[in-house]
Amino acid sequence: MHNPWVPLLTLSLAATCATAQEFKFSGFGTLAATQSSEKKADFISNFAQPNGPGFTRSPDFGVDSRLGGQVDLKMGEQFSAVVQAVAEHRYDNHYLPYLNMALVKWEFSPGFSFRLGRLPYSAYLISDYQKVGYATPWVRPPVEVYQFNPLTSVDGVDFGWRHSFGDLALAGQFAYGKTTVKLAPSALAVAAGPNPPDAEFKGEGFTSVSLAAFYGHSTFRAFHGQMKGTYNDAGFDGPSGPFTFLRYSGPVPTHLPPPYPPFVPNPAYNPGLADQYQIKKDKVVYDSVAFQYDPGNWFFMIEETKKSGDEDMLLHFTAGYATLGLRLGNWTPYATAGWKHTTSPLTSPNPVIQAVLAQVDHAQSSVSAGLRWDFATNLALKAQYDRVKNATGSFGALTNAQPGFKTGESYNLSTIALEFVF
Amino acid sequence: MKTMTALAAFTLSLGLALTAQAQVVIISAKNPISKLTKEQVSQIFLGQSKTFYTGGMAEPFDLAEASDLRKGFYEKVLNKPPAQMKAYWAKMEFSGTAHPPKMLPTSAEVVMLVAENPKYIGYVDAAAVNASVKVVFTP
Repeated sequence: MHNPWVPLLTLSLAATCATAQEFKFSGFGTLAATQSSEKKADFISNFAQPNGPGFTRSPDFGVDSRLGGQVDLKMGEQFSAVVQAVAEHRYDNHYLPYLNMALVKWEFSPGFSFRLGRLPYSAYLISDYQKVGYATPWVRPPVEVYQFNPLTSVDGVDFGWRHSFGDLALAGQFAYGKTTVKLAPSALAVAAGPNPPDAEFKGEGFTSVSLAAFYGHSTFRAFHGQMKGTYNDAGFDGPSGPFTFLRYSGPVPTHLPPPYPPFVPNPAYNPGLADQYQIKKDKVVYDSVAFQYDPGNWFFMIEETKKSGDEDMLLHFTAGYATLGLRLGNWTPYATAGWKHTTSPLTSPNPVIQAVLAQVDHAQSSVSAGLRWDFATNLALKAQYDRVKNATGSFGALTNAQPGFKTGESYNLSTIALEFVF
Repeated sequence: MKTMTALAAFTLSLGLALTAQAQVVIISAKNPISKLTKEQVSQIFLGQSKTFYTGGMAEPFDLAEASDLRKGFYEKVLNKPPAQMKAYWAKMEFSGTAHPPKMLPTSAEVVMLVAENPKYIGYVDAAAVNASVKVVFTP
């Protein structure tokens, strides 16, 4: 409740409610069972999840299931408000609903809008409705692009613009705000002691621009966003963490018999390297381009994304996917290929940094095949099979690795999902 | 026997004529626009455009979900059956982007409301059209 937007928003919502002309309650949800062939680690569909199918559960019902509810208020021609709550498997294993969206919108002129509050974080093509399985082709958005970034909302303002030029429609958006997301503690934090505190990622000074073009059955979208990112985690930042050790110039025990000295100055001492790799107010940049073609009987979508930023930021990558689907009456078979490459160095001459880098690579590729069946109004059943290959030395989309787990291996996921809207 | 067959054929064709209603897209007679393209119509009905190409505000009406006219309209203009339209509006609504058009129960009510205000646009049974509105697109 220390969020400065909350009282302001509550006030605006109350004002909107008081004179609301139209009120609508609706919702969406997914009930899914997911099985993984990799039993020495857990698959997660969102970086904020602490565990999932594989080692911890088999099958797992939490990795792709969720429930969302939304209230829409419309007040006259120009003002409206939206509040959306989502319940899903979160960083500390609870399923309590959180506010995914809470905004007031002012359409001050046809085609122009201004929004204030908790806004969707729309870095990628389907980011702002990625929780709504009914509206997407897959059982989960391709993890190569959608898993690593756990951000789903931004507290701030945005300005939207829409216009048609003949058969071409354009939509632009400029957003500014900040965002915080709670994460499960890292493996380092878990290893450091019992009951580690939750980790978090904070994005400050978030600024983004996006442009979408609609022409016939084609949609094209480009996005650029950046922020100052901070990652707080008891394992990485704590007294026994790698960065504390890099900043320690004092003596360390050699554990060697005489004539070797029992203590020497810390040979890994390198505070500059700690500053470079520790993620504290470092610039993070997200770029994406996407194209979608949907003439009705079939559809194709492709998206390519890039994460970059300050040179001292861990883990730069490029990632993308392509999906092709056919619509045969109520049946929609589809196939997806996904890819993710780490573009920042994964080796360091410093042994401490080297040890960190060995734990963090998420590069992978996958191919998936699935089938959607719209068997009743507002209901769809999906089945999907994924064949995932982690890159050499990479953990891919897996977490909670157990003794004996090998990086760089392949595994399969099988999922059945019931999607609904109401 | 011949008479019976002819009668049956007549009844059948009458039945077909009654079920296969023709949709037309209408705007108010007060609106200066005389013609819209399929693209412009679909942009407005998908919430991608909130205005007519003239810059005037555009607000579409839908018929009831079970209506054959509605099903036919979206199949002809966008090649999308009801489940796909549902998925489309789920995406627009739950991303806080746009809301589906307001629903009206009959063509007659759409004609009545569209006639009143140049910002309104609807698709109706061709037989319901009168002088207060004009047809700007026939799917």
